[in-house]
Amino acid sequence: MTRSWTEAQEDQFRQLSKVLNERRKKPTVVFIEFDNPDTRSRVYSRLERDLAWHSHHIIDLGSEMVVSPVKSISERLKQPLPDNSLVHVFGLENSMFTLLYDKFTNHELTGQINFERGKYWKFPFSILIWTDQHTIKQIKLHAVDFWSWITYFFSFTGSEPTYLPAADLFQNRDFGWGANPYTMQRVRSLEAFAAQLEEDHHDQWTDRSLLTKVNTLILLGEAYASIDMGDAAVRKLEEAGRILDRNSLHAPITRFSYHATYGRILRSIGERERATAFLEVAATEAQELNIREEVAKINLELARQAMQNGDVEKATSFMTVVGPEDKQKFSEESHYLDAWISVARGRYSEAIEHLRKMLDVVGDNSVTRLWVLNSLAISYTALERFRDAEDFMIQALDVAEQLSDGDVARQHLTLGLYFEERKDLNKARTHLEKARSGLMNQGDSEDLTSATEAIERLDKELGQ
Amino acid sequence: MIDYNEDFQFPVQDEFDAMEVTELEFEISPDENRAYVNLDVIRGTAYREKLLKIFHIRNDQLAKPTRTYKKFLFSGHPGCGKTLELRRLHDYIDHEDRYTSILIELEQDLEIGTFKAEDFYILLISALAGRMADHQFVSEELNKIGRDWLKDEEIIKELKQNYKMEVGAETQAGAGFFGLLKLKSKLKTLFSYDSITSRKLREKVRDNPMDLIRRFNLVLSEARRVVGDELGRDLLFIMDGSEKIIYDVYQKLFVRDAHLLRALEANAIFSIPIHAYFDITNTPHTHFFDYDTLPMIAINDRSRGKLGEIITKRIDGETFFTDGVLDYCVNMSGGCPRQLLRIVNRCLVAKTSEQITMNQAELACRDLGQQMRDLLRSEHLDILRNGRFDTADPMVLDMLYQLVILKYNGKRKINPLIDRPEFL
Repeated sequence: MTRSWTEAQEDQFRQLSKVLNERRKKPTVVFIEFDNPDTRSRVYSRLERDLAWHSHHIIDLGSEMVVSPVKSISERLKQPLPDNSLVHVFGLENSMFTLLYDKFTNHELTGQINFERGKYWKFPFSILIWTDQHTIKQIKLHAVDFWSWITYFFSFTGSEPTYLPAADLFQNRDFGWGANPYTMQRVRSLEAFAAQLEEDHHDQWTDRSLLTKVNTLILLGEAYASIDMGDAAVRKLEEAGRILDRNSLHAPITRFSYHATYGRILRSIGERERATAFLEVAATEAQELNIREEVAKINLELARQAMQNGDVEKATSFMTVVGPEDKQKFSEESHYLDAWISVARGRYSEAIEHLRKMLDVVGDNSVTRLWVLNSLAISYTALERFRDAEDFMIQALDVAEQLSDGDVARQHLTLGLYFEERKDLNKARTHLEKARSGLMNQGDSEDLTSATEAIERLDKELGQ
Repeated sequence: MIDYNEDFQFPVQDEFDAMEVTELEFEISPDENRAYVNLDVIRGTAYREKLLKIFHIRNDQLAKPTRTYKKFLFSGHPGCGKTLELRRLHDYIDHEDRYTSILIELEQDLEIGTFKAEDFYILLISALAGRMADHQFVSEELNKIGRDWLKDEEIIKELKQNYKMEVGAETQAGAGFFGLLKLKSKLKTLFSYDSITSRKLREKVRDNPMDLIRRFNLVLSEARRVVGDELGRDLLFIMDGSEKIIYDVYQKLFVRDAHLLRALEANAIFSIPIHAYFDITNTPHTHFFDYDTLPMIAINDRSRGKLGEIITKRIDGETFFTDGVLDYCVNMSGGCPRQLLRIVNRCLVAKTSEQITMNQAELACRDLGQQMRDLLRSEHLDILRNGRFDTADPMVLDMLYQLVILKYNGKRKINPLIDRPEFL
């Protein structure tokens, strides 16, 4: 689909070029908002053409679950860049959501961006972060401190707000989620249904029609949330809540559905405390209604939230509610949480049991598998079962090789330090050399210092 | 941030240099005489005088130790200069006639993203150890704390294996104290991930925080004897960056566990987010904390020139502004230096003529106002329209944090960027 440039977009492009073209002394950070991938391609191509004397580098984070953008950018840079470099970061929007069961929930990315704010200006080149309207809005709202330092923000959006189609938003991801079932089309058809309902009933609402209205509002809330329109979702759920409160409808399942959905939406927009309150109510209601699977799902979500807050006690108490059968049904999530709790409590044998079970269900070359293998190595080291620990570290290296150069280098570093401790100095040196060489391409890194220092120590020791 | 001051001839005359020196991250330190503007004259010093009075500093001297231990909460809008002000306070207060001031800059000492409430106490204790290290400070209690923390075999092993740190040698005199010093040097690394050391230390603090505070109070009283004789007449902790910690952690430290802070026998200043103080006012600990805000600078005839200097010391006024434009930008800044830089930078980027015209400045401000308005819900707008923003309502606090409402000495006003009929 080809669209013509609006006058406003032309002016934005002129200003963007001006900021970058004559930049001589200090690098900067630029945010560029676009409303569909086509716009991004067009702006980028023109920028590359007009600013041809710059060296352009694209870092596409779209297929990665980014936790720390600074770390991801550092890892993706293979070698030191020339002075006239512009680094274009794509795909951050894909990390704004993570999937828990069948729901999209907000990721912790915005919080991390806020905490890392000082690090963005330490790169010796300008960084251009290209992302969608939703992500920009979330950063403005939830990374206030970071945003207050951003000088340059350019918007290439059309007159009507449009959203990335689900297929674009989630393409190339290795999580195997499948397509997002909700689209603008789904929203439109639900809105049309709600409008028809209003027209049919005017002010003659019966309990039954009110219940239909509430259920439609809950569905609309879910639909809006899944296309990143959190505010609209909240409004729908607020309206549903008002109707339920005012009309004392006897509808325990609808009430449960309202609390669970509202809780998940609040969680997705980062209102954690309120989310927990709603989800706890929903868990009680599900228990009363004896909907076992929902009880398990919600408690797993609550445990995950407690884990993110570092609250082992709470996470444990939520996990105790989840029965063995349900744990089997949600085995990856259950083992993950149980493993985390066991490690946090220093119960390494238990952790190993859960982690080994996780190995059976996680994908072959995934970040999760890398995490599991390294956690196993740590647990075996803690139990002084070094042969097992070593075996898992080697397996982790194999997985890292399928992921990124940064992961490989860090895995070599782990092995190097491990063999140093085990006094196998030659093996240690081989791994540390590989780590150093890999890490040198990743830019500023504490890991690089660790590798270099370890090599110096080894050289002294070997020299003696 | 990297210092690029040396690369420019202030005030710059080149258009592209002008854009670079008005970028928000372009930091000008007080040492950079050519471009730094001291805003004391127009900001007023009431908050500073109040603070010094609370800590009993009169005529540049600690008149007498405070009767109770004061905990001062210092807030301000993002970008109003809290960090700079706390550093200045530390530089002044840390003097043999006043206090031994221990400045803790959280962002430098720890990863704020992974900061937990327990880390706060670990940091206080290791910071005291660090400060007292050069002064032949002997504290058996501090040694004990250090030994208790670092005696765990898993910790010893991790520190040795990963960091080549030897701790926990029980027989060595002062081992605990030196262990704490070594720990301090690696705090950021150790606490930025789920290390055995961070987990175990947090557990130890969590197990019995009141006991730890009581023991630390003993150390403080020993340290106070040393500082009284040699360094300054009392101890003061200044913590910058505490306003950036996760809100849940802030609530745990300053609201739910405020009794622990009350029990801490040391004077202290903590920075907190501007919208956060009201959480404390709903607890029984309200009267225990002292509180003040670094105010926005009110725009008046006196302040307009000084605020304008923030710009004209960086970029040449005659080269870049037509008549009245800089004054307009200053008025629209609401007295917030960072907002003023944002406006001027936006004008420089957008301008198509030699100088910035009034029309271009108005368009730039309208654009920035629109961006601010896009974040507001209808409930926020109702509050602004009805002028009901002198409350602690959560939506009002949101707007204070987002700089939609600006707080001056005792008064709140709508940010001029958004205070237009078409937005409200």
